[in-house]
Amino acid sequence: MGKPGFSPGGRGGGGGGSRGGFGGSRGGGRGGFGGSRGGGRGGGGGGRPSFGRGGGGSRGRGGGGGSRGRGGGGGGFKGGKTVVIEPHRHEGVFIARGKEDALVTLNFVPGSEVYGEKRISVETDGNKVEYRVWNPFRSKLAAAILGGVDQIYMPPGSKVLYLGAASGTTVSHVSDIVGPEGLVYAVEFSHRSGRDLINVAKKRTNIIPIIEDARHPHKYRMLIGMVDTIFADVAQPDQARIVALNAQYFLKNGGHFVISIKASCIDSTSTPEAVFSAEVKKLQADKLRPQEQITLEPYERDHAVVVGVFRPPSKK
Amino acid sequence: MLVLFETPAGYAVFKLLDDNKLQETDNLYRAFETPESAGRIIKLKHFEKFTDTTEALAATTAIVEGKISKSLKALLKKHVGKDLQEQLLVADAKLGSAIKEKFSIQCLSNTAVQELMRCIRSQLDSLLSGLPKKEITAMALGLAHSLSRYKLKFSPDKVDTMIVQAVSLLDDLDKELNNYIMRCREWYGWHFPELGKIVTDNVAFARLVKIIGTRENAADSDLSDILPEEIEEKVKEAAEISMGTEISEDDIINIQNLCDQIIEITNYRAQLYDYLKARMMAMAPNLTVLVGDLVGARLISHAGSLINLAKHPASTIQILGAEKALFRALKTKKRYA
Repeated sequence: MGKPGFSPGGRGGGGGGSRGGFGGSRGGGRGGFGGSRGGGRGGGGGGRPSFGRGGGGSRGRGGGGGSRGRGGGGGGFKGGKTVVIEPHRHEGVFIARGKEDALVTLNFVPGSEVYGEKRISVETDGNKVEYRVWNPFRSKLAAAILGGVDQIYMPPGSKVLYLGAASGTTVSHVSDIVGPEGLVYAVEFSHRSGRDLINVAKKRTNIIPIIEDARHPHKYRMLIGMVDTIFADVAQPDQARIVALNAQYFLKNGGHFVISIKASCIDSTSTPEAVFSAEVKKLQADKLRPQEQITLEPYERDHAVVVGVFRPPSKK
Repeated sequence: MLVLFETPAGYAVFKLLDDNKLQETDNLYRAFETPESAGRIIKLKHFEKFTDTTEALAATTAIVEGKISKSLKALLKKHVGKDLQEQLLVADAKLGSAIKEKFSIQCLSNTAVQELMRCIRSQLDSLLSGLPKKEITAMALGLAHSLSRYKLKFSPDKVDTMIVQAVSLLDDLDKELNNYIMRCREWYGWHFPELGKIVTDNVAFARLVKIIGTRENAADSDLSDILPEEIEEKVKEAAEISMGTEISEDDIINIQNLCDQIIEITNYRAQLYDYLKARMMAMAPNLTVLVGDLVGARLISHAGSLINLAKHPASTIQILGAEKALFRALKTKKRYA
C-alpha cells in the first residue's frame, strides 16, 4: 500500500458534478444518488447573484414588445434590483435581462421550484408573475434554444410527448411553456428517476407521468392522445427506432419531432458527424423528415439536436 | 368489423362501416381529416366506462401485460360475443391472441390496424361524443399517476437494489476505511513512526494505539491479544529508542477517538458483508457459487439488476467494469496494453 500524498485537505472534489452520478444503474440510464443531473446546483435559495442593478440602461430598452417590470421582492431575494423580462422568439420562452441575461419560463406553480433553480419575481401593473431560470448546461432543450434553433414547435396549448423525461427538470420547463391548456406526456423507464418525475408531476397538473419503456409504446397506448410534438432525449443506440415507433402511435400527421442525439451513446468509435448523419438517415426511412440540425456546443460535447416533421401533408 | 379501443376513461367498441377502408392504409388518414368524414367510416357501438380508478387501474395493468381484465371480459361477452362472425381489431397482438383463445373471436392486429388506431386516436374527441374532453384528460392524469405509483411500489428489481446498494456501500466503506487508517498512521507516526513499519495490519494498528497511548506505556502494556510474541517484543524495543516527537495527552485522546472509529467501521463492514453474502446466496445462488459473492454482487451492480445481467451477452459480461478502457482502445484503434 503506497502512501498517498497525505496533505491535509488534499482530498479531491468527489462526485459532485458528474451527470448521472453515483449509484449508476445502467439499465434506465440516468439513475443515481442525489438525482441531480448536471452541474452543481449553484448557491441554492439564498443569495441571488446575477441580476444586478443595470437600472437605467435596460429600462430604456423595454420599449417595443418587452413587458417590463421590477424584479426582486419574491422568494426571499433581496429587493430593489432590476430585471427586465422580454419574450423570446419561441412563444412561451422568455429572456431575463439583468446584469447577465438568462433564459426563463413562466412558472406554472408560482412559489415553488423543481430542482433548485433560481426564481425571479416580476411585478407588472400590480400583478406578480414568477419566472424560473432555465440552465442550458442542464437542459438540452434550453441549450438548443440558446444555440439558435429555428423552431421548437411547443407553443402554449400544444401537446408534447416527452421521451426520456428523467427527473423532470426539462419537463418542468416544457410544462411551463405549454401552460395550463397544454399537456406533457413524460415517459421515463428508470424507477429511480421516475420517483422524482412523479413528484414534479404532482404539482404540475399538465404533466402526465408514465413509468414505462419508450420502446413499447403499446404499453401506454391507452394513456396518450394524439400529440403535436415529440421531444426525445433517450440516449439509446436505437433511439431513432424508438422515436419512429412512438411517432407511428401518437404523432399526428404533420406533427413535429425534436431529438437530441448524443453521439457517444450510439457509436463511440466513429466521429460524431458520421453518427449524426447516420441517425438522420434512419429517421428519413421512417417518414420523419429532418428540417434542421444544430450542435449543442458549448453546452454539451458531441451532441446534436435534430428538428423535423412527421408525414408532412403532400403539396397537392 | 369491430374495433376495440382503450382509453383512460374506459373501453370503446367501434363498428367499422366500410371494411374495405382498412386496405387503403396509406390514404386512411384522409378519411379521418374531419369529424364528419370519420363518422362515415366508423361508429361508436358501445362505450364501457370504468366505474372508478381501482377498476381503471386493474384494467390498465392487464392491458399492459396483454391480458384480459374482468371488465374487458364482461364487455366482450355482452357486446362482441353475440356476433361471432365479426372480426375484432385489437391494437396489441398479444391481447388479440388471448381474446381469441378465450372467446374464439377472430382477432386481427397488423400495421393496417395500427394505422386505423392512429386515425381513431386523432378523432377520439368527436367519436366519443358523450364524454367531455376535460373528463378524459382528468381520467388520464389520475390513471397515469396511480399506474406509476403502482409500478414503483411493486418494482420487480427491488431485491436487486438491496444488493446493489449493499455492495456499493461496501466499496464506500473500504475506501473511507483506507482513508481513515492512512490518516491514523500518519498522525500517530509523528509520535511513534517505527510502529507503522512493524505492524502492517490496519485493525491491529488501531487496537495497539488504543491500548498503548503514548509510547512510554508500551513497555508495561499487555499486547498478546493483538500481536504474536516476537512482534510484541519488537514493538516494545522500538518504543524505547523511538525518534518520534513528544505529544500531549489531548493529542493522544483524539488519535484514539479516530482508532475507535476505525474499529467500529471495521466491525460494521464485517456485518454488512455477512448480510450481502446471505442475500446473494438467497437471490443468486448459482452465480454466487460460480464467481463468489462479492464479484457476483458487483456484476449485478454493473448490469443494474439480475435480469439485466442474465440478458447480457457473454461478451458484454466479459468487459463489465472495463468499459472505459475498451472503448478507448476501440476509438484509438490501438492495442490496449
